[in-house]
Amino acid sequence: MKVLGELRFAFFLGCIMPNRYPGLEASVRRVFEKLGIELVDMKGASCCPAPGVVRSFKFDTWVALGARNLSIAEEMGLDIVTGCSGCYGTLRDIWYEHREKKEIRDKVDYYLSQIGKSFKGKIKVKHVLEVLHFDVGVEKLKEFIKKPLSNIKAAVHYGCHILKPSDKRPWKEGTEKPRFFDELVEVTGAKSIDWKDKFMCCGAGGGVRSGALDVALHMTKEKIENAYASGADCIVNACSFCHLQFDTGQIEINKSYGTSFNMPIIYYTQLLGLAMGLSPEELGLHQNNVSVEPLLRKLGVN
Amino acid sequence: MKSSLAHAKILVSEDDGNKAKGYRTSCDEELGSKIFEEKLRKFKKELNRNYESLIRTQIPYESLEEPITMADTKPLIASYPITLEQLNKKIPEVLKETGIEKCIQCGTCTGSCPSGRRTAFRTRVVIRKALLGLREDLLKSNDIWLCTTCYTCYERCPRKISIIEAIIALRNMAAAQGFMLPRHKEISKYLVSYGHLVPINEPNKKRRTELGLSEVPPTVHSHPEALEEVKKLLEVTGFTKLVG
Repeated sequence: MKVLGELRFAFFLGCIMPNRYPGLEASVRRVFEKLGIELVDMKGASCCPAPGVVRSFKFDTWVALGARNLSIAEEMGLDIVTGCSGCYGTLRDIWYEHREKKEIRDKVDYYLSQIGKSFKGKIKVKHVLEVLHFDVGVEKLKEFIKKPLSNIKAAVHYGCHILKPSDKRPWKEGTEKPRFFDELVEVTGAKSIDWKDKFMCCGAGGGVRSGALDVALHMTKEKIENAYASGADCIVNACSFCHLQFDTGQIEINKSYGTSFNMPIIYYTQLLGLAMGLSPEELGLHQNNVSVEPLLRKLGVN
Repeated sequence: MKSSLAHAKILVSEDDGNKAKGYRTSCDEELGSKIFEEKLRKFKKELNRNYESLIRTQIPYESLEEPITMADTKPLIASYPITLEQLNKKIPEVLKETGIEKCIQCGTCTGSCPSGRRTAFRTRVVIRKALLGLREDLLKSNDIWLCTTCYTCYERCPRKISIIEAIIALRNMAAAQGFMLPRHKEISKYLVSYGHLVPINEPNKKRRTELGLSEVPPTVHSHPEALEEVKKLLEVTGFTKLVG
């Protein structure tokens, strides 16, 4: 295993993480700093661009902007790490297709030459969970746990693009019942509970949130009801768009369905950060729309 | 062309119950004749009757000014006439590459679809229509916009068809023909102006500062020259014109 101090990544932010949920960005930065992993800003990076919308409207635009973001990290000589599964989907898929298909390489060469850039495929694209699972490892993470979250029951939401399409992803456990995220959650001391349709989509992707909000929220509502039914204290996610859909979406669901859901929504590095002894404020937990107070009370924090 | 004529012959001969039992091997002698014309008319009528039962979720594009709601996805009965010309249309290369021709209509995709669970979106029907040359019809419908691209169908497809890539290709065709949802056009304009689909705003500048982060992220938001590069790429790939 590598000495953690040697790990350096280009940190790809995307849109929702820095511009709607900066608490997630703060939690990734602070947790990685504590682990001794260096994150370097990607100056001038743009929207990934979103795989569900931009790719749906104009495939070439998706390839060109995605390749531009990849080229920024390549210039820095660093692999990319991102905490949004949508961004991960875009950047990883383009990286993969660039390696496999000449047609994509030609497109990338042509479009990037228009702005005096190039991408040769010398870097990799990783998800925050991928770094924690493969580069750090669960055993190593254990050494950093200061305050185990022992009485917390967590409904782990994997989300879609971190896992699928599986032929372009690094996990070796299949997509029906993987365990890597549960293991990362359990290292914090929390219990990962079984819940109905655990692996179902949050509802936001594919332009459905923007194009058919009603349909998107109907899916989210089903997931939240399932989390309640399982006795979960919180839903833990690893994607800024899933996080937004569950957190902001809950307010929207309460409005349109007259429900009174208040299920705390926690991004993975926020959960890990708590267990590593960081304060809820440092991790931006107070900036969620749905209060995380019940969870913090149960933990005896504050 | 040849194979669909052969297919037509079989149906024509089945339709003609009073005459010969069994399939004819050739109807060359009938080509151009009045008998053939009559049989073709009967065949088309039969074909249209078959399609009347096909469930679809299409609503006229003009009524899509508001976001799609659950109510908009109630099944409607198709009211085609479908022409042979439509059925014979060549499948575009970009769709062929996804492997949709291998589809055996097993319905695993539909059964796995979290969106189809609550709407009338049927992945299998989308694939079938794309194959039948009913693409024009698909492009105007809501169906293709109800997929969250979760890839569950792709992972479970026994024929390993790139279903999401097929839906993306259909969406690209729809957008090129002007069938983009108004709300999708709206958010796309943020990308053109700011290089972010979801740009920074005042409340989030404040949140960032509170957290000890830079007020504005180190992205295109802090680098005007980088934003120009993004705008150039949006221009040369035709995105700016598409959503303008």
